[in-house]
This record gives sequence, C-alpha cells and structure tokens, in this order.
Amino acid sequence: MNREINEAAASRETDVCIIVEGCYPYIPGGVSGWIDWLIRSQNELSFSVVALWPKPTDQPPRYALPPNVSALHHLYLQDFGAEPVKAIKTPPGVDQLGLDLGHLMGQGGIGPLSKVMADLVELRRHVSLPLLFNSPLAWQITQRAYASEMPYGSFLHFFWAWRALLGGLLSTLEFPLPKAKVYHTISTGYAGVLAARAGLETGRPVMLTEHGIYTNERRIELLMASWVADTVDKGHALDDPRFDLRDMWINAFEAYARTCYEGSNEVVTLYEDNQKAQRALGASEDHLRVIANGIDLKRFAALRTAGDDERPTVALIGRVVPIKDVKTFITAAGLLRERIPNVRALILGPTDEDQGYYEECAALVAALGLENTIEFTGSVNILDYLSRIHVVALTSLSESQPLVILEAGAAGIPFVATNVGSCREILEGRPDEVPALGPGGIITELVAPVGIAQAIGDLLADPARRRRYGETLRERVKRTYTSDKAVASYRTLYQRLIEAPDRPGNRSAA
Amino acid sequence: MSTAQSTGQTEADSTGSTGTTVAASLAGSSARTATRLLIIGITELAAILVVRLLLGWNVPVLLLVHAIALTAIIHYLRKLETDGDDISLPLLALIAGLAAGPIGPIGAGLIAIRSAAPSDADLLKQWYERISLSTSVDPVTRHCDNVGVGRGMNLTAPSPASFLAAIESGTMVERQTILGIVARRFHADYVPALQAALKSSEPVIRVQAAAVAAHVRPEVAQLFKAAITELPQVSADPARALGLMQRLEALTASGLLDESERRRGLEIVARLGDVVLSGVRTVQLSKRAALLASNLAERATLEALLISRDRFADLRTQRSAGRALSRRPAARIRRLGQSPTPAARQTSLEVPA
Repeated sequence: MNREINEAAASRETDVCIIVEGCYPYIPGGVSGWIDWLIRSQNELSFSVVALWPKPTDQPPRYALPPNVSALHHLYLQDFGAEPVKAIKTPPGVDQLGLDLGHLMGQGGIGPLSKVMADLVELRRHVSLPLLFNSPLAWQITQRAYASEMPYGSFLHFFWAWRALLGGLLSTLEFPLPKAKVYHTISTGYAGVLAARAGLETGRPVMLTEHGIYTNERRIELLMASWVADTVDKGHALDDPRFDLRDMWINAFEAYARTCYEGSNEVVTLYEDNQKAQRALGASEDHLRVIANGIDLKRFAALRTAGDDERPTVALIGRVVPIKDVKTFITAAGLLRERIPNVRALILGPTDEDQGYYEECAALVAALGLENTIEFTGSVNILDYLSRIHVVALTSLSESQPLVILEAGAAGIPFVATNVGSCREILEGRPDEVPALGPGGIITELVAPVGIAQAIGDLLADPARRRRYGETLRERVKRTYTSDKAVASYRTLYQRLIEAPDRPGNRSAA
Repeated sequence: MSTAQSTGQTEADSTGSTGTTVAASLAGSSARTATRLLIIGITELAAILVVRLLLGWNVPVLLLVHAIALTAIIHYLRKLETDGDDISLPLLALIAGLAAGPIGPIGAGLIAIRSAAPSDADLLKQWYERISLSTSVDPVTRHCDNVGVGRGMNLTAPSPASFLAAIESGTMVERQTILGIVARRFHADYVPALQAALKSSEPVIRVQAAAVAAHVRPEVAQLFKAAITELPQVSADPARALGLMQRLEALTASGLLDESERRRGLEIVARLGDVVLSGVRTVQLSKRAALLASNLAERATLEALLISRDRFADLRTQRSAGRALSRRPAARIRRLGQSPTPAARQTSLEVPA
C-alpha cells in the first residue's frame, strides 16, 4: 500500500464503510475497479474499507487507496479459534447459542442474527468466543448439530464443513466494527452478514450493491465442487429430501443472503434481471433499486470509427480466462474466415492470469490454422485500437454489466454478445425505453460459435447496418450509461442515508 | 462383524461415523481416567507406608492421608463432569475408596485398564487406518454400511425425471440439481440437457449452465480421447462401432469440444458409419433378423445413418427387427458383435491424425 494509515485515522468515524469480500484492493478489475471508481467519484465523503479475506496474505494490493479512504481493515474468515485447546466451564446460555446459530445458518434473517448477537453479549461475560470455539464444549455442540442435522452422513466431513462455516460466521460476529454513518456491502455472504450486524449494532443504515448475485454464483460453485463430499447416495433423484453437506453449504449462503437483504435499507443492483433473485431471497420491494454502471464519454468522444475499406476487424476485449470463453471466439473466428477470408480477429487483454488456458487457446489457433487471422495483443490501451475495429464481440459465460459494451458503444462500434447479465438490456434497450432506440448489436446463445460467427459476419458484411447499430448503441450509452449519472445516483443515495437518524432500539444490541 | 468394526472399515467418505468416533474418544478418555485413578491409589498407598514407617499406625494421620486421596478423586470427578466426560469410573473408585481405602482406586483403575486397553488399541488402530486411508473396504461391506446408516440410494423413490424435460419445465432447484449432477458426473448422454439449459429463458440457469459447460469441457475432451483409442478394437465389430459412433456423435454435437477435435470427431464418425453399414449389409444378405443397436440412442444413430446414405431397404430391415424384438422380447436376436462377419472383418479403421 502506498499510503500509510495511522491508528487515529483508523478509529475515526467515516461517512461510509465499504465492506467487500475477496476482491478490493487485492484483485484487479471487475468489482475492485468499480469500488475504486466509486470511492474516487465521491471525493467529498470519507470512507473506510473492511476487506474480508480467507487468511493473512502477502499478496500486494493492486489498488492504491484513494485519499478519501482513512482506514483499511482486514477480517480473516479462516483465522478464527487459533488459540490452544483448553477445557472451560460450561458458560450459561451456550445451548441457546448453539440453537440460535443453527437457525442463523439454516434459515437466516435479521431475527436470528439479533438473537445470536444477544447470546454472544451474554456469553462474552463468561468466556472468550475463540476459546469456546476451540474447547471440548464446541466439540459437543458440533456432535449435537451433527446428530440433529444429518446423523446418517459422514461425521468427519460434517465436522470440517460445520467448523469452516461457523468459524467464518463467528469471525464476522466478533470483528470490531469501524465507526461509520453508512455501511455499504458489495455482496451478500459474510460481508452481507457483517453489514447486517453493523446495522443492528449501530442503528446506522445499511446498503447493498450486488453486481452478480452472490448466492447464485456460490450455489453453482458448490453444486459443481468436488471438494464437497457427497455422503448420501441420491442417485439421479431431483427431490431426495436427505440433507447433505452440499445442502448445508448452499443453505448457509442463502441464509446469509436473507440476513443481508432483510438488514439492508437499500438493495442496489446493476440491472433488473438480478432483482428476481433478490426478491426470492427476501429483499423488500421498497428497498430494490437499479443503478447502472456508467463510463466517461469524454474519453471516447474524439475516436473515429473504422472505415469500410479497412481490413474487416472484430475484437474480443477481455482477459484470456475460461469465463470469457475465448475458445468459442477463436472457433467463431475460424468459421468467420470461411465467409470473410481477410478478416482479422484481435484478442485485447492480459494473457498471464491463466497461463494454461492461454496456451490452450494458442494451441487451438494453431490447430485451426488461424495464425494470420487471430492476434493476442496482451494488455493494451483500448483507445489505441477502437478506431480500427468494426465489431466488438463478447463470448463470456457470465457477466453482470460489462463495461466493454459501454466503451464500444461510446466509440460507435456495434456489439455481438452472449445472452448473459445485462447484455441484452444494453444492446436491445430496456422494455421501458422511450423512445425505443432499436438494436445496438446482436445477442447470441452461449457457447455457440456458429451463431456468433454468423452475427459478426452479418455486421461486417453490411456497413449500413453496422453503422446504424453503432450509432444506436452510442446514443443509448449517452442516455443511460454515463458515469455522471451513476455518480449522481450514489451521491444522492449516500447523502440521504448519511442524514438518516439512527434506527431506534438498535444500539442496545451491541 | 460388529457394527463398530464394520463402520470402522468404511472408506474415507464415511470415515466420520459418530459411533466409532465417540467410541474411540471415550475409550481413550477412559484409559486416561483409569491411569489417573491408579496413580492416586498408589500415591496413597505409598503415603500410608511412609506414615507407617515414621509414625507407626497413627490412625488420625492415616485418615487424613485417605481423606486427601478421596478429595483428589472428588476433584477429578467434578472436572470430568464439567468437561462433560464420563464419570462412572471415578465414581466407582470413590465408592470403592470409601469402602476399602487405597485398594479401592487401585482396584478400579486396574479393572478399567484391563478391560479397556485392548479394545482401545483396536479401535484406535482402525480409526487411524481409516483416516490415513491405508485400508480399503470391499464394495459389498461399504454398500452394506451405507444402507445400514441411511446413506444408500432410496429404492422406494419414483424413477428419476427426464433431465431434458426437467431442464425445460422443472423448478429452479430441480434444474440446478441437474446441472450439479451433469458437472460432477458428466456423461455424454447429458449433453442434450446441458444444451437446453444453455438456451434456457431463465438467465440464472443459462449462466449456471455455461459455468457447467466450462467445467466439463476438459472431461469431454478426455472422453473424446478415450473414445478414439477404442477405434482399432471396433473395426471388425459393427455393433460396437455403432456404440462408439453414437458416443462420438453426441460429443461432437455437444459444442464442448474444441473445433479441431470436433472436425476430427466428425471424420471418425463417417468412417465408423462405413463399418456399421457393412454389418447391416451382411445382415440383409443372411436374411436373419439382426439388431445392431443395443439401446434407443444407438437405434436413432443407426437410423439417421441409413437415411443419410439412402439405405432405406436396410432401414426397413432394422426397423422390422426392432419391432420383432419389442413384440417378442424373449426371442433370440443375433447380435453381430458376438460373431464378426467376414465383410466386417475386412473393414479396417485407422485413427485420423
């Protein structure tokens, strides 16, 4: 970190406390970049940041803290209960705590969180939580939980899963909260629980901004994970009611999300599709809000569009990683070359994040004989390239609201994108767009090289349509997706929450 | 085999059976308790001997020594109670100590050690072997254990739903469960369901299917590689060639293979088609009912092949053989794979580069 933060500054109350899990300031791009933008754009407000991370790391931060950040706190989720094992007297209320923790991890909600916090206040008078977590008593509590949840399952696996979940939760509940007027979490999960706890404990407003839906991402990760043991043979049944470890993990993350949604005064997301999942997990309709990401149009204002007589060029702008499905782009480029032999396909983005995947992509380029068609540029300034590109493509498997579409749109370049995140909304317009501008690009299916090649080829072959789509996209970005709009929306929101009175009766929970 | 032993031998997946865990834990703690009681008893006996040597039979002093020993047992008993451990042994020692002096705790300790030590060792040995994965369990025992503790498949459950149908019209949880199964236990037959999920109107399902597609790609590539290694073995066996052709067709149509492999796969499928057709021709000449396809998927592949090559007479023959089989399931249908025909033997397959 290039800026020292002294202790006095760290303990000072800030306007906003940003709570972020597993990204800022250590992981570049995506949500981290957005947080950096948000903090810098609200330079009249002071911020503190709580970064949730598995355990202490030597990884250098990828973002310098903006001048209006007065403190960066770390909450380590896998660091709880490192104290040596010691027998302790059974403190009063421990059985109730076990039950309430079970409810919080199983169902979630602000009620169970409130109960657990009250139990902990009582318990801390008799024993420290880390000591309890590592005591024979915790072993007994775990055995009881096992007997009630899944007595037919593997105890060994249950023990470690339960301990990991509980350790993360207790870390979150024990963490000393920085003082702030507003707590803003960037996901549900443990960050969401911490924010909900902050709301209960301090009485200050809580807001959540979700880019992707955290629970959906965790759910599919857990459903695919080979590290979660299947201790029950459910075969191919889709409705076997027996509770297994995978269910326990999924339930816990859904319960944490429910807790966060219930505890948040504002639930913001980037596009409307996401709100369906938020509603399903208990977010109140009155609290839901969409604030789209925006870009600075001025950066793209002077760019010319690629001429019709220039070599037909399509580009994929993004990191060379599996989630961008670069292989599908390469395959599509191969099919496209059959239709437009002199086509050029650029892959603009770093190749060093997943070296193995990059090598596979390079091998595919060689196997398809596309060395003269496809070029991996590595990290570049896209402003240097946009004037030479006729169509930009995005073959991603998952996105929320990709900035690259907005950037291409600002430069008047039409887009071909897979049907993920808000791509359709950006390219075709929201249903309530008035007046409807029409398409700014073409949406394709996922993992569909033939359809993608067809769409790119259609735009390359039809300059009039290409220009029309490019101008439409530029107009839509100008109307809806400018950073000025996003900055103003967050400024208004923050201001309202900062000025809001404390919620009555909450401070007593601390 | 006792339940504890049986459970004790299950493999890593089931290493944590509570019964054995608690039994091993209790066995270890009872051995410790016995040793401590023995120490208390022996210490008291030694103190009595010292008192005897120094002061003769001084009853008040001897009673004081005995009271100290009993206090130590009571203290130990309360500690175990606080920790939630088993207190039966120190309680026995206390009663025996009250009745028989220092011999009480020594006797209780010796009895406990004698009865507990061998089984402790056995249980611990089994436990350590299991958690270090140094023992293997025969499948029957493992299956028996799994059924016994309730981990086995629910045999009374209704037949599983069609994945394809459930992906198209099931609940969100059902669709996500299917995607999980496809990801964890990929099989070429799941490809249609995965493709349907990729086109789902539900954004969450689409994105999750895409994550699954990315996850299974290496596995699909592996299946493809494994399939083409079978080529030399199927060149003289039209029935097996048909099976391989059907699997390769599913893999090449999955959209999950790299383009270069997909093209290679299509080329192999075309060659396998020649082998299959040679088998069909032989059947027709011999005028005997014969069925190449062993399941519906293979039958669909075969019919598509015959149609694509304008072999409608052969198509009729295969269909009538299929109908004959469905009318008389017990009828003896000759499977070509069991006795390769001369024509089929002449067809050779090479793995294209």
